[in-house]
Amino acid sequence: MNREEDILKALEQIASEAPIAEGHEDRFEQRLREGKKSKVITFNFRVTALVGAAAAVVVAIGVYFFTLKNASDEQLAKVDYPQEVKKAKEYFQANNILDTKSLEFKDEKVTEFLTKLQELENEYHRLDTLYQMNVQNENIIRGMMENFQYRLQIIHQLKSYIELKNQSNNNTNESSAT
Amino acid sequence: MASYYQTNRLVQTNWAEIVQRCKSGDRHAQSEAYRQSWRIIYPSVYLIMRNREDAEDVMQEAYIKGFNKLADLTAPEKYVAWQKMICVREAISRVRRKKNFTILFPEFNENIKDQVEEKDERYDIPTEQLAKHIGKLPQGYQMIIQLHIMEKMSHQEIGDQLGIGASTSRSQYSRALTKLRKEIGVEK
Repeated sequence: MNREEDILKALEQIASEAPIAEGHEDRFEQRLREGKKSKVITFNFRVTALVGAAAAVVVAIGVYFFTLKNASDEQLAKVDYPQEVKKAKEYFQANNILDTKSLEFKDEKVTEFLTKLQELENEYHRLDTLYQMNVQNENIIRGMMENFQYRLQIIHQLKSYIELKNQSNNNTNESSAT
Repeated sequence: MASYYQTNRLVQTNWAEIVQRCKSGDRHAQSEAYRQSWRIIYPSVYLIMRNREDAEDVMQEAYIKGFNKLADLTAPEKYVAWQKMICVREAISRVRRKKNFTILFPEFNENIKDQVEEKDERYDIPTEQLAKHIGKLPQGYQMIIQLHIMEKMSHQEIGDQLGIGASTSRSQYSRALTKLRKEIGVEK
C-alpha cells in the first residue's frame, strides 16, 4: 500500500456514494427518441378509445398463452414475432394509449397510473431490444405478453378510477343544485 | 411462469452485438448500452462535475456523441472503457467551459517550489476522512488527482484535456498532493 492506493480508496468511496436522480434511464430513452435534449417527460393518453379494443387484446393474450402451452421451443424460434405479440403491439400503437389531452382532470392518482404506463412502455422497448438480439427465447415473449397484460390492467384501473371520480363529481353537482 | 422482470438475468451482455446495432442507429440497442454501462461510468463523471444534474446531463450527451463515433471503436468488447473516456473528456470540457482556469487551479500563477514526490508516503487516517479532505480541495486539484490515480491517465493525456502541457499537469498534481497534505495536517 502507498499514498496513491490510499487516495484511490478514498476516491472510490466518494464515487460509490455518487447520487443519481431517479428516472435517468427513462430520460435517456426520451432523449434518444427526441434526438435532442429533453427536460420534461410528457404523457399522452386517450381513455375513450381504449375500452372496446382492449377486449380484442385480452382475447389475443388468452390465445397466446393457450398456444404457448402447446408450442415447442422449436416452433417459437421459427417466427419473428408471435402473431399475438404483433396484434397486441399494433393495438397499443394504433390507440395512442398515452394521450392525456382528453383527460378531464389529472390528479396525483392519475399521474401515478400514467407514470406506471410509461415505465411499462419503456420496459417493453427494452424487451424488444433483447428479443431482437438473437435472444428469441420463450421468456422474453412471455415477458412481452405479461407487459401488455399489466398495461391493460392499469388502463382498466385508471378507467374505473375516472368513472368513480366523474360519478362522485356528478353527485356533488346534483346535491348542490337541489 | 418466469416473470418478464427476471428476463434480463437470463441474458449476458453481448457487446459485439449491441455495438453493431448501435452503429446502425438502433435506438433500443443504444438504450440497452446505456442501461448496461452507466453504473461503471457515472461515478467518474460525477466526481468531475460534483453535481448530479450536470453529471447526468454530461454523461447522456457524451453517450449520444459516442454512438455517433462508433466507427472509431475497433474492439467492441472494450466499449464501456471507450465510452467512459468519452464521458470523462466531455465532463472535463464542460467544467473548463464553465469555470475559469485560475478558479480550478488557484495557485497556478504562484511561485511554489514543487515538492519531490514521496511515493511510499501513507496517510494514516481513515478512508472516510481522507475522502472528506479530498473533497475540500479546489476542483481542479481534485480533478487532476482523480484523472491520474483513478482514471489512470498520463500527465500527457491530462495536459491535452486541460489545455496545459504534461509538465504543468505534473506540477499541478504535485501541488494538489501538497495541498492535501496540508489539509490533513501532515505537511512538514
